[in-house]
Amino acid sequence: MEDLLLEIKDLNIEFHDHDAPERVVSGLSMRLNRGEILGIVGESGSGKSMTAMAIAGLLRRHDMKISGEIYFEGTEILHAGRSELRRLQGDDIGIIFQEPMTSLNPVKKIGWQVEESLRIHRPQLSREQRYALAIECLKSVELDEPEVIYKKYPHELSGGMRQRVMTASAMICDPRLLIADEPTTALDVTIQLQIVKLLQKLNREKNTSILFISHDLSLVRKLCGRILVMHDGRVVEEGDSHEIFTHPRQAYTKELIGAIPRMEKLQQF
Amino acid sequence: MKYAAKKLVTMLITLLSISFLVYFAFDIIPGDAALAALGTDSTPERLEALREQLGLNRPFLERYFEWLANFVRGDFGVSYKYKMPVADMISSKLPITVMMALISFAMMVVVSLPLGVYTAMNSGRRIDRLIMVVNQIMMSVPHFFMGIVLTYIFGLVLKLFTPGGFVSYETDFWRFISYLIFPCIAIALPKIAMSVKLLRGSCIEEAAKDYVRTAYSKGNDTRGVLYKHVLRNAMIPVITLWGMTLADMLVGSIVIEQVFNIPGIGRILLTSISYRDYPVVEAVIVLIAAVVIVTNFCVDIIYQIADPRISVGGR
Repeated sequence: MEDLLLEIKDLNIEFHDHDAPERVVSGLSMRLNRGEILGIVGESGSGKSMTAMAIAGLLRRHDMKISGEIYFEGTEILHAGRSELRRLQGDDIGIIFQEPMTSLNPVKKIGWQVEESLRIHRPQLSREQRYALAIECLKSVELDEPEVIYKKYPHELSGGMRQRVMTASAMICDPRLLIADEPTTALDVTIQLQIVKLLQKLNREKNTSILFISHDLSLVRKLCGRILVMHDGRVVEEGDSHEIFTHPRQAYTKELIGAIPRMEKLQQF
Repeated sequence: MKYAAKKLVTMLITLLSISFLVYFAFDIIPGDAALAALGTDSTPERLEALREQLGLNRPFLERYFEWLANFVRGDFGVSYKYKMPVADMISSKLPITVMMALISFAMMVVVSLPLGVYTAMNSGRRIDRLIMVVNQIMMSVPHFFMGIVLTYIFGLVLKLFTPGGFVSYETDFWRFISYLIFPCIAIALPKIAMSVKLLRGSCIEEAAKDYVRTAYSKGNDTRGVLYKHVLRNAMIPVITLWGMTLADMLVGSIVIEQVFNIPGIGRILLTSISYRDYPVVEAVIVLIAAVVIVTNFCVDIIYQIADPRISVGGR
């Protein structure tokens, strides 16, 4: 039985900052159910990050033209008012970005940044309640000594730790949708696996739907039940993750799978 | 705390070096207290006798350390020209110059902060371009010329103040302040222009960074992103500029005091240089240097609070 959380109908995104309009996403449609982990794979420039930003309501720029519909629990995100959108952002929709080194504010303490969504969306909470929630959240992303981390600045943490902090600050309001936009790209391989396991755990424990965006097929395969393959702004293939890996129908998908380094293939089979 | 202690030591060493250099420079320049007292037509014997009496023939270092010890205690020596303690001469004028610098500084902060943010938020629009043109003009006009223009417009044409008039702060504090307003505007305008430009650029640069996108993704509105995230980061270079500016304003007021006929430290410095009144010049220079260095020390400390990345690896 389907329990729909997010539905995108015919999404088109065009850039207008050059002379000729540049179409980065065309005719994208997709559905994401509650508690599901959906992977979007594709090479750089395939439009997957733009799709993520559009869902998170972060594409409101004058040099872009966006058409289509994005429904999140009945709210249409593309045409929602700004205040309506802000109510969702950070509360119902959390997002983790690709660059853990620069996505945190360098002059604010970790605790302050993790609590930020709480201050915006749960103003009724006291300082002590916020602190308790932040510590619990830092613990849930498997950071040791959360009380110490709480008082640190971003530059005092490693890349993997910062990505955990980002995850914590995106998860603190228990969003129904977590968008992870290449969350592991800037990290080394062992840390990548840890972050993927962490996302799996959050999905299991809190039933958060996750939209996992990556160009790394082996990670997507580990994490996601269903996969969307994007190429040049279009969805070229969609389906069950196992099915796509064993019987890719499109030439492009075959190429992508063929591009996985041999060592990893050997490890998997 | 370790950072502050290190900076404090550096500050003391710098102050000591400056006092030494100043004293040394005035020691090797021809002419001394005896010559100043007796005049050039005096005989070499009488000069020598007075030098002996004043202790000017003692070794340089001995005299330096005595002067330094007295200076630290607030005894800046006696003016050759006016035969009165330098400390007394300076102490009545210092509040005027310091007041001017402080008012100018306050004007700069109060005007440039909102204007910098406003132009950054409206960058590229007509109002921003207009402000930036005016800004560029203000930046290129020297403050003494601005002083003359202000005197002409507001003093002679609009008659808002009496050019050349001045009331001591001891007689009437608020009238004293009112006479300082226009000189302070003259000092502040170029600095306002500079910090508006810097803050605008800094805000625009910070607004494009990744953490701003994160801030929006948490549900912040534009005001929240601006005040809680962008501004704090954008202020870091501006704080440095302001620190240098405060010291600059003290020195800059020396010229402006002449334009507006204000009897501050600048007046004393200029007359005592022309009279070769070395104890006064030495005292004023060392005091100005001390203010500059102490200001820089404070800026370093504030800077470290504003940017937590400084203390780590900053050695």
